[in-house]
Amino acid sequence: MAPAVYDFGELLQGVPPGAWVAISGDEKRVVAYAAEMRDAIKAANEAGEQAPIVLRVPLSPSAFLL
Amino acid sequence: MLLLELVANGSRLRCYAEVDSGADHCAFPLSFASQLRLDPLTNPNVTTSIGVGGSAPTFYWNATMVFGTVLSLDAYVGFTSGLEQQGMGLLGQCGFMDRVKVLFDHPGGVFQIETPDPPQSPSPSGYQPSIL
Repeated sequence: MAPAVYDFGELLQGVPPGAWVAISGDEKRVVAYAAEMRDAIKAANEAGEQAPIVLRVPLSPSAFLL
Repeated sequence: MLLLELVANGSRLRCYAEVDSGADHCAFPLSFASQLRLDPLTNPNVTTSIGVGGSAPTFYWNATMVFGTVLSLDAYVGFTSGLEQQGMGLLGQCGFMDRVKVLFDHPGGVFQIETPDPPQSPSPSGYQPSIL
């Protein structure tokens, strides 16, 4: 079985760097975004997405060195 | 990067986390704690090293990490401002890698996680992560 690999580049296109993003449960649609995570979730809830997935757009394209 | 649901204090949050063999324990952005109604003001913190050369206060609570219908892990989880910019969690040694087998096969393009069968019981609740 091929591994499930997702490229979020296209999905997150147009979302400002640093923004918190609420995406749909099927990971295919940006439902809302905001500067604060709670605001993104609230907007997603109001749009009918009760359990959005949250992530943050990096401020700049870079690799993580954790 | 794995999709999971973080459950604590009767609240849930769906998010992503990276498997990080270099992390001593599992950790998530501090704002996730607020979303889970966990109040940092009621919990002491320890300073944790983050990445290379950085450090940040980290608050710990017991939480459950639910990976779809495949795996559910109870763990003592850190929440730190040091992961705010990343916006996702780290799945480290205690709480994750001590419960599953992980295989990184970069040449083969495969990242494999083997869950225990039958599932293991949660870690002892008294576990305290080391301070780096």
